[in-house]
Amino acid sequence: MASTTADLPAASRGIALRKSEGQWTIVLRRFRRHRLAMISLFVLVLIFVASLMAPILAPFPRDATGLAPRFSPPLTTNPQTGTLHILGTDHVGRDFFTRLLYAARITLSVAFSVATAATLIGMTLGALAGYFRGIVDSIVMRVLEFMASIPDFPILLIIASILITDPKLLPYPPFVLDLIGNLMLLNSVGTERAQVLTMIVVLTLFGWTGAARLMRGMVLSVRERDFIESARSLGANNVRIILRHVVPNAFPPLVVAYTLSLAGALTAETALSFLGVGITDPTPTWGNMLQFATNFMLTNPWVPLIPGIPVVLCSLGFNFIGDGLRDALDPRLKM
Amino acid sequence: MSSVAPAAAKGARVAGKANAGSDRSDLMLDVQGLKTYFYTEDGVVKAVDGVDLKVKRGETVGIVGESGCGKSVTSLSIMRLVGAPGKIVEGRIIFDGTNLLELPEKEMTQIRGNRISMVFQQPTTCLNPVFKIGDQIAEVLNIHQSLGKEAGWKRAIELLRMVGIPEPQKRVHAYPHEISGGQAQRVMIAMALACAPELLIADEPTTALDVTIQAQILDLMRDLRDKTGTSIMLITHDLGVIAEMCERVVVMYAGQVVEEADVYTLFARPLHPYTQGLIGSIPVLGKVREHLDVIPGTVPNLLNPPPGCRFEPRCQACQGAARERCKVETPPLREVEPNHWVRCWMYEK
Amino acid sequence: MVQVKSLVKYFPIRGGILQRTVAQVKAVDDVSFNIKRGETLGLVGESGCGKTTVGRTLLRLIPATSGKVIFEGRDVFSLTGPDLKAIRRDMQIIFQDPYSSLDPRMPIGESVGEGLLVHGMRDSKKRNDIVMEMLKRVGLEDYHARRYPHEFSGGQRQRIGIARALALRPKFIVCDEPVSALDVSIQSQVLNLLKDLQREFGLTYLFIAHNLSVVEHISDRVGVMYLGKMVELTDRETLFRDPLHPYTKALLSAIPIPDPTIKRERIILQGEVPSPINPPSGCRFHPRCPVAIDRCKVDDPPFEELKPGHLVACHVAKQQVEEEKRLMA
Repeated sequence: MASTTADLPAASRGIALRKSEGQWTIVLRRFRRHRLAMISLFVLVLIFVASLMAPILAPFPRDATGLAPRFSPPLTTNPQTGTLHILGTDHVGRDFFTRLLYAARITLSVAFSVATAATLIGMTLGALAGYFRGIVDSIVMRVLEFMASIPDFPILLIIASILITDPKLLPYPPFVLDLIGNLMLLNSVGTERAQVLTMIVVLTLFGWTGAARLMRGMVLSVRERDFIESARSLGANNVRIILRHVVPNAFPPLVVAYTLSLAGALTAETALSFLGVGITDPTPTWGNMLQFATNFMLTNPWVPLIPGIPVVLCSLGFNFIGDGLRDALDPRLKM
Repeated sequence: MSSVAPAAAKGARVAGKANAGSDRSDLMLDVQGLKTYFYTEDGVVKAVDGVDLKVKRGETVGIVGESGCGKSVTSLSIMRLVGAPGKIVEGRIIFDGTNLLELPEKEMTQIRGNRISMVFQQPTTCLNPVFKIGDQIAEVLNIHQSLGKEAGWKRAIELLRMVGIPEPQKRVHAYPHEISGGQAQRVMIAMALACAPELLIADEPTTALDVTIQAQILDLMRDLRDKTGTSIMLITHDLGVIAEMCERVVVMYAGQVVEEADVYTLFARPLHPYTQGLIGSIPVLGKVREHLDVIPGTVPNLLNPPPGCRFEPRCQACQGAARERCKVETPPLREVEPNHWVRCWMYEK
Repeated sequence: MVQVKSLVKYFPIRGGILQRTVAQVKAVDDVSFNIKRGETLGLVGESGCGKTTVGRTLLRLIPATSGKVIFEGRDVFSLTGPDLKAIRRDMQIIFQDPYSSLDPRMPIGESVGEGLLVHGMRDSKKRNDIVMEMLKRVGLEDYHARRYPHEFSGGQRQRIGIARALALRPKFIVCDEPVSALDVSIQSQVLNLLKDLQREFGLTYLFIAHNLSVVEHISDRVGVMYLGKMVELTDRETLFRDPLHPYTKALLSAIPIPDPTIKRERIILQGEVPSPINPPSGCRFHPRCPVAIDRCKVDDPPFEELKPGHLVACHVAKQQVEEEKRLMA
């Protein structure tokens, strides 16, 4: 039954005077009802804030080795400084908690950069393909189909291993490197920054197709609706129609896809780093921390849990938030 | 016509049985105080709120009303096909002497499609696109009459011929997308009549069709009714269809019956202000008026219906003191003159 | 005011890897008519007869295959750039589906004012005044302007659609099935509103609908379409009292009359509307026509004036009219 609040005069009049009953207010209200998504959001914000405050929270330098005997269990006191190794130390005596914080910063930054870049690229290409159709559409779709027909992961492995082993292959402008370096607190010497940037580029290269497909589909369905024709009959031009009518209407599923692609980018980066063709030690990421942890898990079973738990939390968290958004944005549910 | 014979025979048999048992003889369906509510996250939507309805054997009853008046939910309730969040909360649906609401689900499936069947508004979406038409008709026959595949297909061809599909022996092999909307509605009718039901519920059977096709389908339904003696409950918003097809009419508004009478009385002397407004608001071919009558406002939200008479906020019948009662107290459905029931305070005494 | 000359619109059906045109849907095939200033021309026909396509091609929402549309002396199809934009001010459309014709993510005040903005009215205060005036005129309140379409019922949305079309003060409005998605009691509200607005603003309507009773109510002249062709066009009274084309006759008799005391002889047409991809030869109606003669199968009847102001495309009707004339003489 269509809600016809507009008929109820006095009661809803107060609400109407504020602009608050806009679509996003309703979405927010419904999102708050989704318990798992709210918990996930809380946990993720916690991890995010912790990673932002890494230099303040971290008790030790990131790469300092031999601080304590290797594989000191959690809550060991450092023999020299007397500071607590909250999560113990790793196979070369580095502080796990410190590295976990820095890794969070790097892993999350990579995930956000990849998801954002991929979604923006995909959105633009998809929107152009869907709106103009014809030759633009053909080119975009053929590229999409090509990407879909090759097995992702092996190719990703090959490309990543070539580029990562020699990060200098790609010429990056220095200011981008600086930006990345400052954002993720990376060493400015050596190839660390280039390696992380390459990771982002490679993952973006493979990550934009989903968003493009989705956007194209949405645009194709939106452009058939009468209000597009109505706008055209008023004399509106293509730019106005795309920006004011098509994009806002195609947006909700894209928001959902964005959160889900955050999870995707995070796991992809973790997987590559775990396999040793992503970001490599000493730059800490949850993936390469896991890699070393597995080598020693038979003797020190708690070690894989330290980087493992945040990976699971984040990946699940992004997925739950995506679910929550999907429910909140679903037009079939009553407003 | 051979295909019609079993239906008539069965009807007679059942009627005979019923007669022997008690005096409920000529009542096919008797709905009493039916309430179907939908429990949504915003609150309880009282889609059907105390509906009484009778269908006699061999009679065609029309249910007319606008969208959201509860006419479709009533029919789904009779079939017990109301899905979550909807629930039948009260009332009795007595079909040929048994209360359908007390039957176990298994026995209800025996009745559905066999003794009561339904034709829906969108014929093309009601047919499964991956099966041939013949398969779908044969399936119904297999479920209820344990007819084998070959016999089922043979009967399907007969049924298709009966509903006027040309070259039925070829058409049984067609898939739903290969036939037009009008043809699909014929197929749906054939399926509904496959087991010679005693009651056929047709929910807006012609709304999705063009006028010339609508005329064909209405013609077919009239024809089949005369041959088989099936009772029909015809749900529509089109008063023209009602006038052509029905013997008795039930007018629904916001989940309640507001008026019930035979078709001649209803059109000649509508009593409820809503019925009057409805009849006055449609343009009639050949009778041009400068302005159509208007019922101001819109149908109330059933989440929060008006406390008194549900039509009161839109009613233009009376003003002043008489109106006060309508605002607070829901009028009962009363027999104002013989066989003419109205839910309005104006006709008290 | 509006002259439509031999309007043709074929939709290509593409197939194969090269997306070549494999067939054409002949949606509108050589349709001509005029609309006089201040009148309402009704256009009726069943689904697939091309009536909606006529409306949209007329407004250049979809490009025509061939033909001409002259609006106040200007050739609509040859206009470009600013001239085209200017003429769009004068020609507006009201859509059938009130649920899809408004942008769900735009407050309705903004929707109504969009045309003004597009046509260069930058002053938001002035724009707002016009929006409020229009909303009030179609029976809505000021505070509705900030609301979104989902908060309105179907009838109210249709009013908003009307306000939106009206905001630019057009001279000509194509009403594309404006009431067929509405409930009966709401339908009459909207029909009355359209009539009142026509008088008030001196509007000219092209009213497209499948419901003959509605068309009879609102139109001055009515055109009947069948499978992409206009088969009959005359004033309302003549069409409903004395239809000449057998299709019109069947259509009229097929409509259920809400009066149980009237029992009519009904012409029930056999079969269904053929596919416009491969329309029948000769007269397109001949396979279903109850009075078809041999000539109808091969010879497409011209659309000509058989009686003053009464245009029909039918061989049989022509013979009858000529017969009548001879008898009179």
